[in-house]
Amino acid sequence: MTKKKNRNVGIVGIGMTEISSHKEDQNQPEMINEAVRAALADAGITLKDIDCVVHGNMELFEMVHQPDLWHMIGTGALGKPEFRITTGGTTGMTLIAASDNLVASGMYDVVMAIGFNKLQEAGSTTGGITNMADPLWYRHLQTGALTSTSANMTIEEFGAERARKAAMKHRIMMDKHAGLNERAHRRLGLEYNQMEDLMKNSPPLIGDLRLIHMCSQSDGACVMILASEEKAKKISKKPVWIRDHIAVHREETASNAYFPILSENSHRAAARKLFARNGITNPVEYFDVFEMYDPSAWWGIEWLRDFFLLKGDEAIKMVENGDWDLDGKVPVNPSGGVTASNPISATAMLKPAEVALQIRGDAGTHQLKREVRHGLASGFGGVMWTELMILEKDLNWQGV
Amino acid sequence: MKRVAICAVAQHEIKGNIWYKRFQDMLLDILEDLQGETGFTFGGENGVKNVLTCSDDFFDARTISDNAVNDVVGAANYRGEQKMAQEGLNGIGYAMADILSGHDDVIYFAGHCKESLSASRNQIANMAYDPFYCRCLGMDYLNAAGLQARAYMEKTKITPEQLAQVVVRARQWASRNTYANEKTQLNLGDVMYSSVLCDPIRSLHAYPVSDGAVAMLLASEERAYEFTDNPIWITGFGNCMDDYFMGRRDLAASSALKKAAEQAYKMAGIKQPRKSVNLMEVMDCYAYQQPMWLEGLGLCDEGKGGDFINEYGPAKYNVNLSGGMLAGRPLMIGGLYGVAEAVLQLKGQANEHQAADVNCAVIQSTTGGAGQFQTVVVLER
Amino acid sequence: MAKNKLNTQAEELISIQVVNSIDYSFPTGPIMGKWFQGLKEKKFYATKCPSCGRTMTPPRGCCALCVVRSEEFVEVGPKGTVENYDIAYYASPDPLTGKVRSTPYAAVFVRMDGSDCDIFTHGIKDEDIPKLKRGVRVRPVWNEVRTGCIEDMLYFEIDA
Ligand SMILES: [Zn+2]
Repeated sequence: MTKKKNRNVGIVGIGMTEISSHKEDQNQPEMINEAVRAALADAGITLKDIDCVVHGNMELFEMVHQPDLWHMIGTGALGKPEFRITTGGTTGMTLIAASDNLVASGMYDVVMAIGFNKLQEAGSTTGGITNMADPLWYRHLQTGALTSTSANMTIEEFGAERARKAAMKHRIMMDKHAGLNERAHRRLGLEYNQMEDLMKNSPPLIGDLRLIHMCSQSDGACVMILASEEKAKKISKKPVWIRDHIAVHREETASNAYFPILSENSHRAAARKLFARNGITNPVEYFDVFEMYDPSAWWGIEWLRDFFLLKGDEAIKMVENGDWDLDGKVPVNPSGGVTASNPISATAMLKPAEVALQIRGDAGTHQLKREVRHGLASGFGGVMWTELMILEKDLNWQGV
Repeated sequence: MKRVAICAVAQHEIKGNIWYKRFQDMLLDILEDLQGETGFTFGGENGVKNVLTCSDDFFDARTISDNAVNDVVGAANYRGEQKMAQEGLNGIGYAMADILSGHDDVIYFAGHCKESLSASRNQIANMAYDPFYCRCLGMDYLNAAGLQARAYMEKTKITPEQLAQVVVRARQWASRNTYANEKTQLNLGDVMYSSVLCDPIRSLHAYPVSDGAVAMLLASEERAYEFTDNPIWITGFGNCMDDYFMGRRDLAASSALKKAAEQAYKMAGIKQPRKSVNLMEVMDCYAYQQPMWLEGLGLCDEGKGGDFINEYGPAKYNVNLSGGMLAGRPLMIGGLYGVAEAVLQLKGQANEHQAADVNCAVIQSTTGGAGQFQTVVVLER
Repeated sequence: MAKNKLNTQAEELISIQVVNSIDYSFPTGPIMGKWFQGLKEKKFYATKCPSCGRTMTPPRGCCALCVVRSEEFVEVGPKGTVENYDIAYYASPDPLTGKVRSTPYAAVFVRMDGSDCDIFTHGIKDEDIPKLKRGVRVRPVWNEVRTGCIEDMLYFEIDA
């Protein structure tokens, strides 16, 4: 069942701040404004051309209630329509999905989406995430998004040595990609010959999840401008088209997310449904790039299997073969991924932003060598929630 | 242009402190009410696949507050969900866009807000201000309203009697509305001599602390009749952001509301709202806001809010026959309750407070200090 | 990147430290209320979904899989099987108190006896952490003073 879009929507502007752990030289609206200006400059338009602003973050990290009200100083929403839509870690991509809907509806021609978090102002990100648990019983137990349940399951399935090596290889590969991306927050310069050392000596956080496996705590903002087909073609020489997107949520109780009581997790369900309705039967063949929300290296190797609908050890084998590398079968996270940069509510927007830059050929120092026509981007949040989005270079999938 | 329908609505009764239920329990109650009325399900080819919620992390004291309700809004079993992190009326505009885009054809939309969970809703509103300047000054929505009330009263010369009339009338209508919170009847003196809350706002000028939840089913024109015989159409939507710094705004004029109304009327093809609109639900958190928002919506002349009250304008345009905010509605879904009321009125199901011949209703809501953000929806039969 | 044009001295970049505190009270509602009453009596109540039949503890008034009201109570446990676990070496601040917890501590994801499609999470006794593995059997250790809250159960211990 292909969804019929009321009208096509293209990405015409992308802006992001530098991602770093400390941004004392900017307050929240100033940080947002930097990304807004960058996106407007990228699109070659001004605020006058923006019909509607979409804003999102997780409020309790910066401890500002309804922050769009204050942030209007930096967002440029004065006198304009505005929406504030959030979903946790997936927020950044929810904002793009929502903006896609707003433009496709015909209600707004040009929409600017703003995702950001200034986690430095939260005190402790792990504490902030823990606040999502039920105050009556789970909040005293949860340790943010830190968990080794994925590592435990992967080790049980493939044996400790193979699993640990695969997770570390994924991590070092991500760092190598980040090393090419001047905007990435953490660029550690890791080498594959450090694997054994890191597997032993990186400080353990939770079980087999070590500090090196885990995502960073970052400040940053990402802004994307979306326009109707007609406007997009006028504004941009190379608009990137949003083909389709899907959101899949799971139940509140985190224990049921960390141990799969059902056969399928949200990522696999999202991929299965999205690919089916778009007639994509072999995602490994089809996609030229995948930007994945991989909050840890363990989740990274587990989820690649789900997103590409692979079985058994097919995904791990691909890690071992370097098939996810920049010159592999499907390059994964040329940006360096989430273990390198994680300003949470911007993170899931950095994924489609990176894919769009790769499709345009504007990724600069980390531009893929191959031609990028078909891109996939994922967001992760909540208790195993997925947002998954397909982006295209050409407007030629209709009727597929 | 294609149309989007609100098929049916369900309201939880509003109370000052629903201490005996979690908000999850409240949402399950109204979900069942709505399913009973429309027969919609979450399963199968024709089931609801995407859900819209409205809640607030601060009011619920939960990061990702929608996570807490995914189970009871039907999102948890591999369905999609998005949260309106604004006053819920904006969700009507977003759900409309979602359906018009072709991405979804049916949307279940549920919002909740329990102001009673926190010791002080003013403390939460204080957190809406920047941490360097306005927050340290103790700004909150009540203080901001106090400043605006003074500016508006000075400009319009509206009298304490006229403001009291607004409150007395709200309570009269609330007494006929099953879902309304505060139904105690008042006389003018009760209001005029109630204790001063934030000069010139007195305690009975302010909306009571409220808990509640609202749900509705929205559908494309093609599918609406599966769920109801008399769908209500969303024909206009607009919203607009005003300046954060109050010193840069004319506090007695609501420029953002005028722009929001302009968008909504234009979409609905309404050229003369005074001729077309016959029911209003405005978010009057404080008594002065009812005439002030009606000015912004073009229902009365600029600066003539007081005369409008004397000339029975609120009765003529069927303003807030639910009792409105002044009878108590939770902040984050004040406008969503307005939609629920308007839908019942348009369907002729408002029972004891039903108005005659309602064809076109306008609902307004606001977020932030002194009406910084404004939203307007037009519904028609 | 647009840098601050004021050529600001680092010492002029001020960070204001603030602890924001708002008091809240959370009602349990009848479903969680019954569960806490059960803990007081060393019992694990679960709700049973009338549609799919799964039991849920802590009880939920609505089965998330079937989206139907589930208010029938049954007892599960008190013993269960560890399906997964987290051993924390990094102590995050306790979000309720701000205090940093001592490490290591662990959480276990337990399939309670009589509960087929639901996982219950709690802590495990520190001494048992080295013995943790998937499939191990555990039993609850109760607080001597029980008042009807999550602390009525101290943690699980391995059921030798
Ligand atoms: Zn069930």
